[in-house]
Amino acid sequence: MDTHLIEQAAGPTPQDYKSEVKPIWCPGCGDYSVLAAVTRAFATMGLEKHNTAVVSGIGCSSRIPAYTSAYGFHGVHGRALAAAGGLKLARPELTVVVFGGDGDGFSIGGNHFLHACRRNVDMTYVVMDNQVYGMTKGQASPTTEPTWCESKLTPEGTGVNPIQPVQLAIACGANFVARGFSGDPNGVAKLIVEAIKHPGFSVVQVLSPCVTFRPEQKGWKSAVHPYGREPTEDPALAMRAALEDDGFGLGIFLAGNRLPFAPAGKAVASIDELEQEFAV
Amino acid sequence: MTVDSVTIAFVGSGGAGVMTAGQMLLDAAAHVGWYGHMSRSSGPQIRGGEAAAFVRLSPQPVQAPGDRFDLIVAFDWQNIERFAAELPLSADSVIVTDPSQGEIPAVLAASGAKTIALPIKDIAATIPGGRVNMVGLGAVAAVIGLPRAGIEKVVESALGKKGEAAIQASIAGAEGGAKAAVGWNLGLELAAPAKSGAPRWNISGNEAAGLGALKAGVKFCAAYPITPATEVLEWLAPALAKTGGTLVQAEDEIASINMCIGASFGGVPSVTATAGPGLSLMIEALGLAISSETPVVVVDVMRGGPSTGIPTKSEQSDLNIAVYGMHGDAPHLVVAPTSIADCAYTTQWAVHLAEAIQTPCIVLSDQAMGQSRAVVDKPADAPFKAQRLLATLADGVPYKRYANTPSGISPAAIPGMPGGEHTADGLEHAESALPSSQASDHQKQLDKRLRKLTQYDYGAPWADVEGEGEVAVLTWGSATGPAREAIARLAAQGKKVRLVAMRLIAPLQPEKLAEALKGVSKLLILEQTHGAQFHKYLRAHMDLPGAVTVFSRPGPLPIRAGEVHEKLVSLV
Amino acid sequence: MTTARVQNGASSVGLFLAHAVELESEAADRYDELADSLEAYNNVEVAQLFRDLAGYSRKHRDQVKSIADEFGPLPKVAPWEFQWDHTAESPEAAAFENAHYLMTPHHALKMAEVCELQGQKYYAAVASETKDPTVATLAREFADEEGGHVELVRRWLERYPTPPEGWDEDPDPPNYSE
Repeated sequence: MDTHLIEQAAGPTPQDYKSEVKPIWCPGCGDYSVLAAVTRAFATMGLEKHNTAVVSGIGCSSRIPAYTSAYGFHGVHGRALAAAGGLKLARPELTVVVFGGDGDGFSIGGNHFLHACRRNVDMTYVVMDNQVYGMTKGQASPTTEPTWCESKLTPEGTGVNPIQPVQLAIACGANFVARGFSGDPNGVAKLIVEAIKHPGFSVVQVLSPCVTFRPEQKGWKSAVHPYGREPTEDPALAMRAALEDDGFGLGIFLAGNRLPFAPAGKAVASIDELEQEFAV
Repeated sequence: MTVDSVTIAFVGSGGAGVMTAGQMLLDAAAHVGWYGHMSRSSGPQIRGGEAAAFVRLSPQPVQAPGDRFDLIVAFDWQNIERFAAELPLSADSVIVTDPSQGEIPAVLAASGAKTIALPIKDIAATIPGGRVNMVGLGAVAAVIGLPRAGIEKVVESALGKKGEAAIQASIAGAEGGAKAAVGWNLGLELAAPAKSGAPRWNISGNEAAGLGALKAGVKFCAAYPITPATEVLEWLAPALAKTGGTLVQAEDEIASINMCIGASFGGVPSVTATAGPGLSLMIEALGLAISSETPVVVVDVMRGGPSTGIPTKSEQSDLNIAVYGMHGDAPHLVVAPTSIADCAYTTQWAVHLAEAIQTPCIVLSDQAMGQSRAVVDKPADAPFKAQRLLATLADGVPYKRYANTPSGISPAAIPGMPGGEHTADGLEHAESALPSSQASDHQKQLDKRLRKLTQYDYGAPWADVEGEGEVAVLTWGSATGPAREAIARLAAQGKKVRLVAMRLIAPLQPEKLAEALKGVSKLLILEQTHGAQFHKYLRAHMDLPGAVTVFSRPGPLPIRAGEVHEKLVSLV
Repeated sequence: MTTARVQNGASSVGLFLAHAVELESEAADRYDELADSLEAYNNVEVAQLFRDLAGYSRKHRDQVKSIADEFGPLPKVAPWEFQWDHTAESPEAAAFENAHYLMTPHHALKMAEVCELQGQKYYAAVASETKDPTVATLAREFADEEGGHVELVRRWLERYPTPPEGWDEDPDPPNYSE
């Protein structure tokens, strides 16, 4: 453990990264912990608020930018990764962190998730997975088990297998893949710090119970466990571990070595020179 | 006896090199000092399909495709029925055909056009490495009086990399064709160009649009290919890389537009290009840009709609979605270039407007301009630059991203500016940017977002207003060229017709339009839509002066000056 | 309980006090978050109760800080470097998942009771674990202090017996907000 004798008052505190806006999540929502984890991570890294951008889509989880005091972009449903990718590519010096839920990220956002992993732009994606659509009153999401019958939209259950975000992320080429649990905000904070520090596209799936529509998820506290292996840089090994995991294994599955996608942006010609191509 | 304009077509199928012949003819003519316009048509095959290149040349700038073809050179007649409607002929036309390729199809022969036999294939066979398209090109060059030097120059630049033998073979092929054309006496020698020495460009509308965006200061583009817009993106890819910008290929149009909006939120002027189906996909994100007041420019190269429609043909039928597409009350900018060269000017203007007003601007180009090339006078540099109003942040003063200013434009804070942190939102919001469902906030922000558009001074570029007369043509986009030419023909007969070609489509400028149409007793509305979208749009906002005639027809056939002339003749 | 668990807090006075400050700070922050969330959901009574509890935690934190002042500057510890006894975070940070927008003071105080008990357990564990006599003394003191808090909460609880069934019934269906 690395400790150093420094006045505790020095350096930013998590509170510095919170805005004055009080979250309207249901009391008991796992997202409170994620907000705590994120602000702790930012404080630990000493990030500059004005050089940090928090991007989200639509859903309970996506409300988070307004609760932080960094720059925020609250976009449309499912498209946060696209907006964030554009922002990071245009402004590579910013720290860009994307937030969303399992519906925003894997249903309407599924295609962008696939390509964000593949494209490997240097940014971090925190998915608050509660296996339900909370904001629209409790429909099944792509991570909901097929037998869950509590939604009016699918009263017999979806009958469709869920996707497994960690496996999907590894398969599509994300460079850093981890799973955390909102019941351990410090653990999640640590994963977020590692994720931000790790080059390329980092995915942190946070199991984050929905107290209103999936009260049985209180039992997740007993279901989670360390997934039992050291992080590897080999996607094949990471995938094996993810496939064998029961979906509640916590830790860093993959800390890969793919180079991040960042097209070089140095000017080597003027527009006048380019115009010459049209000259008769 | 020379002519002032000659309209030529090369037709043939895969391997004949029809497109190359057309391109080389245009380029050669340009070198010699002529102006020209070239468009193309092809079958659905990826390669080897039937193809046609349409070239019109003149000593003066060419505004529109010719009314009919003076000369067709056919390498073969495969699937020619596909192009029959695009090859208007008359008894004065000349069809040059290779006897080895069979009879001229009845649909073309019915015109009564003169026919000339030219054994193109045989001539090419006598030359080692000889190609039929060079033989055809040589024959055309002889007919119109294009000096050999022009052909040589073009062959060298096109084939320089392939080596001396290829160059010689091509020149020999052209010579073979030229020799065979001696004595045809078709009376199609083009009048000599006026050698002004002013710089000229050979450019397509799509290239021009990309250039315009770059000149305004665009540094980011997210791209998804779609016919007929892909060339905008393909031109921008190396151009942005060379000028310190970034182009990234996205997974779909929705990703493209959202990436552009994200980049723009970061303060970087951004552009993308698409066509109708892509624009439909982008509409939701454009609403986000409107609500969050994030500038972005979308070049829509319109094609035959609706749905998949006719991807390779032109139409102006995206007007409705460009203006009305977003849900909610979502006013924004729509502009439309009036010609191939104007694609640069208007796109540059679009970036400037979008950044100044902090809203999306849709540029309605179309396939006719986008995928056609023209030899034009080099456009003057336009003064438009991307310049966003930035906030001055004072310590202790809370920053209001959506402050309700008199102009409606709120000073913007960009990530990187300390003290300007806020969350931009598609949710309706208070001045502070915090989400709000309050009536007063909604009213305030709606008023503000409208006011910033209606109170902006757009200046002269809002429309090209030309000429005088009680008869006027009101049009937009690529319909402008044929209108100009028709009006010029009437002017030559002493008949005055006014032209108003609208560049700023939204927000509509009823007062300026009324002023431009003052004294008009007969108004011709000209557009290439099935549902008279432009006319209905105008009527939704204002009364039009005088007796109004609407000439609105859909694609896929180009509007020709002759059609407009015919309509005007009945009015003047 | 394994001996390694509380190693950090047990190893030196500086680290121990850093843990103690963190323990109460996080507890206060958590109570405040709960108070905010219940205020947003118009459960004013319990919101106020959590505010009061936050106040007490801050008072305890200040008490620890003034003790710490005698020992000099505290080491900086990353949030996940704290080692607690069987809890992932401060033993006195209330379990968020047990909140409910219709919760009654009874539920809130039950949560607080668990917090204080966990706090007491932590200090007792450190006291038995540590090799440092100053740490041992302090830890025992703090454990006793926490014991007092447990008693306070229990007396408070006497005023709020378990509510009857149906306390969490809401005749209205959930709202759409977006």
